[in-house]
Amino acid sequence: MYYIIRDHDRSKFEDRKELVERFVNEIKEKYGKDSVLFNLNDQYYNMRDRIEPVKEIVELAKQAMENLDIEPVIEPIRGGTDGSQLSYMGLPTPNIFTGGENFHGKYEYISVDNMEKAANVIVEICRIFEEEN
Amino acid sequence: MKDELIKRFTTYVKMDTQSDEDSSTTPSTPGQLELAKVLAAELKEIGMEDVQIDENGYLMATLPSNTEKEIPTIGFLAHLDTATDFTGKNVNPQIVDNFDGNDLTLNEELNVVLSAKEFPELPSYKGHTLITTDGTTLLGADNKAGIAEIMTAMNYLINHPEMKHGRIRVAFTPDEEIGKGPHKFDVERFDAAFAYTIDGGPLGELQFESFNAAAAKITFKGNNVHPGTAKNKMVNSGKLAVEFINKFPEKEAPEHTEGYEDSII
Ligand SMILES: [Zn+2]
Repeated sequence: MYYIIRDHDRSKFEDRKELVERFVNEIKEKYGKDSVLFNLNDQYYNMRDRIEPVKEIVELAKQAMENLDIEPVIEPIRGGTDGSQLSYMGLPTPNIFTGGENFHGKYEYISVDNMEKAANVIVEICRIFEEEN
Repeated sequence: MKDELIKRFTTYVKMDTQSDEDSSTTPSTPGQLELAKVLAAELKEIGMEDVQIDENGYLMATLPSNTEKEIPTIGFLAHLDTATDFTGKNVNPQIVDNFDGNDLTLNEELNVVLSAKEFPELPSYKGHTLITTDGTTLLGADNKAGIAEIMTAMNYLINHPEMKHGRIRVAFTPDEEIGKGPHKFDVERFDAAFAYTIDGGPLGELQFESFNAAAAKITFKGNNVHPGTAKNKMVNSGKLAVEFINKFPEKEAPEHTEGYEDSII
C-alpha cells in the first residue's frame, strides 16, 4: 500500500508522519515486528519556508502583474513543482501563470491573449528589477 | 507578439515530449532532447549567449545585462516534457480566432465538446484567440506555453535595447512531470539569485507555497510467527490493513485520490 502524507504546515506534516509511524508500531507490537514492512521518505517540502526570507521576489512578480492590470491570484500549488525542490536546492523559485486551462488532457486549451500577458510579465519583471535596483 | 507566440507554441506542441516514469535515463525520453536542440538553435538565432545543453538534456542560455548597474541575475524556467496521463503524440493544435464564448466542438466524430457546463470559465474567454486540441490528445500547454512565453519575452528584450535589464538566465529542463526535474539541475551552473517557473495555469496565478509531502510504503505481511503460543492467532494481511486504517480518527483517515493508487493522509 502506498500513501502520500501531506500538509502545507511543516509541524502538522511532522505530526502526521508521527501518527502513521505510531500506528505502524502498534501493529508491530501486537503482531510481531515482521508483520509490517514500513518505509517513509520525504518527497518535497513547502517552498514557502524558503521563499518567505526573500519575499521581495514574490512582490516583484506581483508588482509586474499589477503594472499590466493583471490581478495576481496567489494560492498554494496542489502537487509538487520543480520550484519547490529548486527552492530547497538554493534557488528560490515561485511559479507564474502560462494562461493555460485543464492541463494534462484533451480539454486542455490556452488563450493566446493571456500567453501574451505572461510574456509581458516576464519582460516587466526584468524591467522593474533594473529600475528599482 | 501574438503571432510569434502562436508560431513558437504550435511548433513545440507538435513534437512528442511525453516523459516516461519507467525510464532510467535523463531525459527519460529522446523527444525531450530533440525539442531542447530545436530550442537551442532558436535561442542562438534570437541572439542569446552561452547556449548549452548539458549531458542530461538541461538547456541553459544567457541574456547579458545591458545596464551599467550591478544587479543580481534573474532566472526563468520551463519544462520540456508533457504529462503522461493522456497521449501526447500527433498533437494537432486548433486555433480559434475571436472566440464567440459558446461551447466549442473539438472533435465532431468523437463528439468531444468543450462546454461551459463542464468548464465554467470558458465563456470568460469571449473575444480571445484560443488554441485547443483536436479532441484526441493533450495539448501540452503544460509547459510548452511557458517555453514559448520565455522565448518570446527574451526576443522582445533583445529587440528593445532601450529597455534596461540585468543579466537574465533561461533554462528548459526535462522530466518535471515524473518528479525528476530538479534532480540533475545544476544550480551553480545556472548562477541566478532567484528564478521563476512559468508553469502555472490561468491568468494571474502566482504561487510560492506547496505541500510538504512524504511517501510511505506499507506492506502488511500478516503474522504466521509464534505458532506455538496460544494467544497469538494467525492474522492475515488484509485484516492488519483494516486494523491499521481504523486507527485513524475519521477526519484524518486516508482518502483515495482519483487517478492514483495512492492514498492521502
Ligand atoms: Zn508543468
